[in-house]
Amino acid sequence: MKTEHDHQLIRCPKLGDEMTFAYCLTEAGNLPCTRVISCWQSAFDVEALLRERLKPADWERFACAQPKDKMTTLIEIIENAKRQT
Amino acid sequence: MEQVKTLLEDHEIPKQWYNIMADLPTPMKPPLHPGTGQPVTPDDLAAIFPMNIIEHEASTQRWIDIPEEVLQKYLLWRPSPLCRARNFEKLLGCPVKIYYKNEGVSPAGSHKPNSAIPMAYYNKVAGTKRITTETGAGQWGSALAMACQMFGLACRVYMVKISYGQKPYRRLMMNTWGAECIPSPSTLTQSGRDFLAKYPDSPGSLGVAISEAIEDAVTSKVKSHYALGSVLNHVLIYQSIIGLEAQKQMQKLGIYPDVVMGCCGGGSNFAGIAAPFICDKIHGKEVKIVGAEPSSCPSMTKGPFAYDFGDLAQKTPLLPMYTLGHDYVPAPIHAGGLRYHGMAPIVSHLVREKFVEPRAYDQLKTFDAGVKWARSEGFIPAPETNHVLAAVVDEAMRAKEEGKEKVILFNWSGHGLVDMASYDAYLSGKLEAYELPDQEIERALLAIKDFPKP
Repeated sequence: MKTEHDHQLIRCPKLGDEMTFAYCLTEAGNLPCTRVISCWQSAFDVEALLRERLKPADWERFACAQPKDKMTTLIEIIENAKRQT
Repeated sequence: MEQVKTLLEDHEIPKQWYNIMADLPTPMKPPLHPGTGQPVTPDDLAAIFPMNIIEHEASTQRWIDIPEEVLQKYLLWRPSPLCRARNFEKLLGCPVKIYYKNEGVSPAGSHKPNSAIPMAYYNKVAGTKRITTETGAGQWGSALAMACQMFGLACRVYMVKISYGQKPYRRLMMNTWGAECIPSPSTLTQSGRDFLAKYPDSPGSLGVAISEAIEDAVTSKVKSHYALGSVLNHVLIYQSIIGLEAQKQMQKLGIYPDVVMGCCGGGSNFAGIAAPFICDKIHGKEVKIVGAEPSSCPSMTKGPFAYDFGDLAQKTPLLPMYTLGHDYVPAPIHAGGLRYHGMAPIVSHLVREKFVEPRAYDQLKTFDAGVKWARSEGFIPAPETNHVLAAVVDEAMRAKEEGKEKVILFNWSGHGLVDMASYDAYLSGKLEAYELPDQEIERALLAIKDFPKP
């Protein structure tokens, strides 16, 4: 997804580094970072842009996703990794 | 001659960490295993943490002895100075006395070694040979690399690929301290390979880097564990050395802060400075505790409600704002603040319990504060640290508006000397002004017009 805001820069609070909006749009593989709206909304209407540009299924996945707490994330990754051994 | 620094002698370094879990008025719910729905057990985490660290993670013991070996490493730069920011005070021209803990004096340049060193030590004692972790721009990775070297452990850091390219000096710090630094996603792990198969040109993300670091630790044939730089309880316990030293230093000065402030990413440096003072607050002391978070939401303070942009499914109106009735409007106290999934659960809990007041600042305001600081006090802050500086400016202005003298204590969590690209972006105007136009505010207020009013 290309947008007119792709080149705009923000300090990413997760990475501690300057990132473009283009990065934020695909931070989670084919979905935007979960923080994209809280980081960018006061620059332009990110929510409207995502509603318009994401496929309906992707918008649903993004909007309804419940971000996981750290402990849940760690345990899920551990369980996945154990399956490798 | 006006005093600037308040120092502690080596022998005055606190000998115990403080665990705020012992004093929470309302206990926190234990974290639940996502598969079983039951409380997480030590065995669930044993694949990535040694048992001594898991005990700290689960502990409700108020004081935890700091091992002599850890103290000896801390003494390389600790106790860190408590400084009076007299030049910044003069610049602001407000009735405030501003004190700060300078955590930028550590070898890695930030507060991160306060937790990296105990983690490396406890792993060493537990027989770990190797520690893995992930890092974005490298603050955490470099601190852990240093700590592992101090205790003779191998270290592998999975660094988000885009930052690996953009932040070569942090990567080089890790290499200089003997760690391997791998751009993530990599082909070294199955999770990295799977991600690259789907997204071969991916610049990487923290999520993938965490998966790689944990998989590496779990599957390694060499006894390996994982370490992380923030969020979890044990990290916050180790960081309490900051606030405990500050308490001793302020006692030497015979003063107590009216406001204690820290910037909030994952919560470690904030909890580090604030936890011992929150303990005082829980036991009746009058002190305001403020966490400054990175968000571009503050423009919403112009409306009667603050908005939680993290919640798209239910646009819940939150706490009402207040204004001093002038052009100056303080940043929002919004219930969404500091309660997102990446924040330390302890900090989120303390916000809900109203012991911590969250404030959000946009990036231009933070860099403006940081540059003002650098031009008055000399030290160049890490961009993250600029958030608390914006909050300090905010609080100073409030003191002026209220006509009330205040003592402010904050955590200067790190220097920005390895992050000058950020200042380049700010000084060359590449970081845009994010001011929500009035029509956007109107649109947002219209969306919540039928919700209950304060």
